[in-house]
Amino acid sequence: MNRLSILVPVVCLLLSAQGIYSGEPVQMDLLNVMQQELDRSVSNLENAAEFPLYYLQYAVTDQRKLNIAVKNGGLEAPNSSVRRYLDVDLRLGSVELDNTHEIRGGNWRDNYSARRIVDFPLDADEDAIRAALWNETEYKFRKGLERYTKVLANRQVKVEEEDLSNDFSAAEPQQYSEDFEYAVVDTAHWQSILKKVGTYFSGYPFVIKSSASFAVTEETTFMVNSEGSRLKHSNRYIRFILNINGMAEDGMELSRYETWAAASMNNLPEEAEIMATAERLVEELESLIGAPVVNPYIGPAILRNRASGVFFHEIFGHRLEGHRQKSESEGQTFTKMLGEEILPVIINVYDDPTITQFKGVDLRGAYKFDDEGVRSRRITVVEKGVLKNFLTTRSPIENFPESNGHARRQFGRATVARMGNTIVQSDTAVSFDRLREMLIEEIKRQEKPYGLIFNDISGGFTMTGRRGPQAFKVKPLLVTRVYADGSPDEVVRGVDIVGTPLTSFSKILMTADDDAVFNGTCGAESGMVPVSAISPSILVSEIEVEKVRKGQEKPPILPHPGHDKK
Amino acid sequence: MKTITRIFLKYLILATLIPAGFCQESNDPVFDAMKNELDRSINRLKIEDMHTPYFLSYRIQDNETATIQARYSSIVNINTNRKRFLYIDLRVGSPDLDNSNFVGSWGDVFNMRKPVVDENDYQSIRHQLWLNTDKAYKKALENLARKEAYLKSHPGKEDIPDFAAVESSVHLDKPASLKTDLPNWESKVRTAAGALKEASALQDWKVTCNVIAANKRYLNSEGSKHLKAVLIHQFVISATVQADDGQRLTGFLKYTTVNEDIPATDDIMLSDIDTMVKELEETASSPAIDEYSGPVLFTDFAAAQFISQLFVKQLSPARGLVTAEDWMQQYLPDGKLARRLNRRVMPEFVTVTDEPGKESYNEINLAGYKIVDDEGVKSETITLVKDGWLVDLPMSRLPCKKIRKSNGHALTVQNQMTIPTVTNLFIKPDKPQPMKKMVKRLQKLAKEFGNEYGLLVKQLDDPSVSNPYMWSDVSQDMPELMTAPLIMYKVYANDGRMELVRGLIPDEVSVRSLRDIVAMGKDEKVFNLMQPTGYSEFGYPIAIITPSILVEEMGFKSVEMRDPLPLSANPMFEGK
Repeated sequence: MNRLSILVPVVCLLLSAQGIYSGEPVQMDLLNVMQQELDRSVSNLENAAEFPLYYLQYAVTDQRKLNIAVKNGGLEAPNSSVRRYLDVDLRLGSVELDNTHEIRGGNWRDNYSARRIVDFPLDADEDAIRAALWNETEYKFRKGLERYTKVLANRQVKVEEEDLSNDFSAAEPQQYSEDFEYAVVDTAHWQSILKKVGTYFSGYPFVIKSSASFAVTEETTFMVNSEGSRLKHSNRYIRFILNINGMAEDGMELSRYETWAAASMNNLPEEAEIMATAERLVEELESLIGAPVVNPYIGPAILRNRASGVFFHEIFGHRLEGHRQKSESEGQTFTKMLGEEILPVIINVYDDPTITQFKGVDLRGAYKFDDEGVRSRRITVVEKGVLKNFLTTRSPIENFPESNGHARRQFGRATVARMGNTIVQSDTAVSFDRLREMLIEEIKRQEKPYGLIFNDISGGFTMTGRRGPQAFKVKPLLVTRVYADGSPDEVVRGVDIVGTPLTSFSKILMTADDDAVFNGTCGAESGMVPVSAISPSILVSEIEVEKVRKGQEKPPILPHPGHDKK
Repeated sequence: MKTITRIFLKYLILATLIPAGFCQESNDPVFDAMKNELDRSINRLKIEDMHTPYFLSYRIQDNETATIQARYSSIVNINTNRKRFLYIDLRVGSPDLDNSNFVGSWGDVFNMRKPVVDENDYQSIRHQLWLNTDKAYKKALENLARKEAYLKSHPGKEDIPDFAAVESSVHLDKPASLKTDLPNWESKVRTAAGALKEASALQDWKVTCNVIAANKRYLNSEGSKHLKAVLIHQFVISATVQADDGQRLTGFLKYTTVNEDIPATDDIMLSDIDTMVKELEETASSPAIDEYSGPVLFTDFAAAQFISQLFVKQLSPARGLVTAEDWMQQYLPDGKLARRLNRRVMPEFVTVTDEPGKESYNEINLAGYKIVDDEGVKSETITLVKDGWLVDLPMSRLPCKKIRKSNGHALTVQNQMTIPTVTNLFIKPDKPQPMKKMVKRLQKLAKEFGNEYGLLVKQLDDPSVSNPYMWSDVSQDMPELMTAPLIMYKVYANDGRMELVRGLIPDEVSVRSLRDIVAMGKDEKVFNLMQPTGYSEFGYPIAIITPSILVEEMGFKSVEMRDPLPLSANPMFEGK
C-alpha cells in the first residue's frame, strides 16, 4: 500500500486552511450601529415597565478559531470557524438593588442560569444587526423584570444580609479602539510537526493513547454601554499541546502532557524543542508506569514553580474573587481577614492583567478591559503576607465600592470576578538546589522517611461554598520521592494533594528564585477564561496526600497492534 | 462586513473541493485496518475462563458536512466539517442469549459513536479499533453477567433468542462525496432570508442549509462487507410571529432530498415562503379556540406528520430492552403499535407497505432508499398493514416474540442503539376520495357530532424548529404523541366556509386515532423528511407517500404557553 498517496488529501486540506486568517478589517462601524440600537432601546425601555432600566450593555465577540490535531498517530481534518456571539447585560431597579442581586435560599438556578449562546450577524447588514440586538434586549428585559420581582420578594422574606453594599457601582466611561492583524498560520508546517510527534508517540507500546494539537483562537470584543463606553479590543490565544496516556498493571491511568501558550506565532516552540519534550514525556510516562504507589502521607514537600502556580490559583486565588465575599452561600474564608497576615511574611501576591509577558513567555491572562468595560489594572492582593485587596467587579463588596477590572466571562454567561495573571512573588528566595537541601533538612528534622516534590499538577478543584467543607484537592501528575538518607530520588504515583487553605498556606517555609509561568484555562461560574499563574517553587513543612481515585479497568488484553509480534 | 463571509467562503471552497481521501475497496487502508483488527480480535481476544466474542462488527462512518445559516437577513455561520466515527457491535455468549439488548446503565442506551481520525492512516485506525474493541469486550462480558443475573431473578421475562442468523453479503456502493456548491447554497440561503425581510409581522427568522455526505463502511465476523453512501440535503426556513395574546407561532418549510441537489428552485421557494408568511400572519391574527372534539382532516404536510408521529414512531422497538433496574423502563420508548401485531390498527380499506428498494416515485428520489441495512442484511419490501391489520414489522437482527428473522430494516442513528426503522412508506387506500368529497365528509361528520365546524389541519408544529424561538419553559404544553396543529382551519358544517384558527394542542391522542381514519384522499404526495426516533429528535431520512387523511374524532385543548409581547418595535420594520 502506498501510504504517501493516502496522506496527500489531508495535507492539501490543511494548506488551504490558512485562508481564514488572512481576514481584512471589518468594513462597517459596528460600534456605531450597536450604539444607535442601544440608544433606541434605552429610550424605549427605560420607563416601559414598573421597574426602570438603568443600565444597558451590548457586547459582540468576534471569534475565529483554527484547530488541527493528531490522535494516536493519525491526523484530524482541520476545524475552523468564524462566528459572532452577542451578550446583552441590563439592570433594572436601582444601583442599590437591581435584578442581578443574589436570591437566597432557593435553588442554584436562581443565581446561575444556563449559558445562552446568541448567534450574531457576520454581514455588514445594519438591519439584521439591529434586529438581533432588539430581539435579545427584549428577551433579557423580560427575564430581568421576572427576576427583579423575585429579588424584591426574597428580600422581604429573608433576614438582613451581612454585606449591604449596592448592586452596581459607577465606572469611568472608556473609549478605545485598536486594529488587529489576524495571524498568518503556516498550517503545513504545524501539520508536519504534529504528524512527526504523533508518529513518535506511536513508536512506544506503553503509550496507549496520544494526542497533539495546535489551536489558534482570535477574539475581538465590540462593546458599548449606556454610560458612553465604546470599546473594540482583541486577543489572540495560541496553544500547542502534547498529551500521552498509559496504564499501570493495577489499572491506574497515568498521563503526561506539556502545553505551550503564546499570543504570537513567533513565540511558539521550534520543532526540536517539541520533539525533545515529547521524548521527555515518554520517559516520564514509562517511569510512572513502573513507579510504586504512595500511601497517604503528611510531611514536607516542594511544589515546583508551575505546580505552585496552579496550587495558588486553585486554593488561594478563587477565594479572593469579589463575589465570594458577598454571596451568603459562600464560605468567605478571607472576607473578614482584610489587613491580617494570611501568608508568610516573605510572600506577595498580585493580579496583573496588564502585563503580557513574563521572562519571554506570553501570558494568557492578559487583557486590556474587563467584560464590564473597566480598564484592567495591577492589584496587590497580599503584601508581605498581609491581605490587602480582593478582585472586584462593578458589583461592590464591603470596603470595596469600586471595580478593579476583574469582571470576566466566557461569552453567553454572566460576569463574576475572576483572576487574570496571578503573580506569587517572594521577598526571600534561594536557588532550587538549596531549596531541595532545605527539604532534606526538614525531612530529617521531622524524622520522616522521605519528602515529596510535586513537579507537575494538572489542576484541581476547591470548594468555596458553605454547604461543603472548605477543602481542596489538586491532581499531581508527576511526583518524586526524596529520601533523607541519600538514596536516589524515585518517581511515585497515585496521590492527590488535599487540605484546607488556611492551614496549607501557613506551612510555607521558603521559596526558590525560579519563578515560572503556568498558562491555562480556568472554569468557574462565568465559564472558561484564559488565565496565567506565576510562582516560584515553594517548600512547605507539611502537605497531605491521599490515594487517588483509581480506574478499575485492566490494561488492554491484546498488545498494541503496531507492536504485536504474532 | 460581507468580506468576512467571502474570505471564509474562499477557504471552504478550497477545502471541500479537495478529494475526501476515500479509497476504493482494493486500496482502502480503512477496510484493511478493520479487517485485520477484526480478525485479530475475534481469534485472540480472551480473558481466562470467560467467553470469547462470537460476533464482532465494525462500522466506520465518514461524515462530510456543510452548514450555512442565516438569521434575519444576514449569514451567521458558514462551516464545513469532516468527521469519522466508529460503531462496534461485539457479542459474547450465544445467539440465544448474549450481552445485547440490555441496559446496564444509561450509557448503554446511548450507543455513543467513537471518534476516529479522518486521515486514512492504517496504523492509527487500527490503534483506535484496538482500544475500542478491548473496551467493548470487557463491557460485553460484564453486561452478559448482569443480564443473566437479572433474568434469573425475573423468570419468564425473556425466552426469545437475541440474535437472528442471516447470510453474509457483500455490497459496495460508489462512495459519496460532498460536491460542494457553497456559493449556490449561500445564494439560496440569502434569497430566502432576504425574502422574509418583506414581512413586517415576523419577529425572528432563520434559514439553514445542511448538506451531509456519509459513507458507511461495514465489516463483520460472518464475512459481510458493505460500503454504503448517502448524500442528504436539508434546507429549513423558519419564522416566528406572536398573536396579540402572546401565543408564539413558528412556521417552517423543510426541503429534504437524498442523492440529489435541493430541488426547490428560487421561484418555488419564494412562492412557498410567501404562502408560509401569509398563513402565519393570518393565523396570528385569527381567533384562538378553547377546545375541540370532532372530525379532523389532515392535508398536505400534516398528513405525513400524522403518519410519522402516530404510526412510524410507534412501530419500534418491536421488543423492549432488558434493563438492570425496573424503573429505567419508564424512560424508554415502548413501541405502542409494535405491541399490536396481528391486530387491526387502521380501517380495513388501508394497506401500508415499506419499500426500501424503490429509488424514486413520481420522479422524486425517495429518502429511505437502501439495498442493505446497517447490519448488512438485504432490505426487503414488507407489507406492514393489510386491510387495516398490522401484519408485519420492520425488523433488525433482534428477534421479537412473533417475528424471529431480520427483514433488513436495521438502522443505527447517531449515538443511539440500532433500531428497526421504516424506509419508504406507502399509505394506500382502497377507495381514495377526491378532496371535495373529503371536505363534504368532514362537514357531515361535524354535523353528526353536533359541531358548528370540523377542523382541517395543513401543518403540525415541529418542536425541533419552534422550541429555540420560545422564551418560556418549553416543557409546558408538550403533547406526548402528536404535536400541536400549526396551520388549521375551521370548515363550517353548513356551508363549507374556511376560517384560519389557532390555539389548540392535542389532548389524549392515542394510536387508536389510526383506527378512526374514515377516508383518504386521491391527492397522494411524496414527503421526504427526517424521522425522529423514540430515543431522540435527531432523525433519519425516510419518505412517506400519503394522501390526505380524515379522522372521525380527535380531542384538543387550549394551548397554555404564552410569551410576553415585545415592548418596542423591531427596528428593521420601524416606520415601515
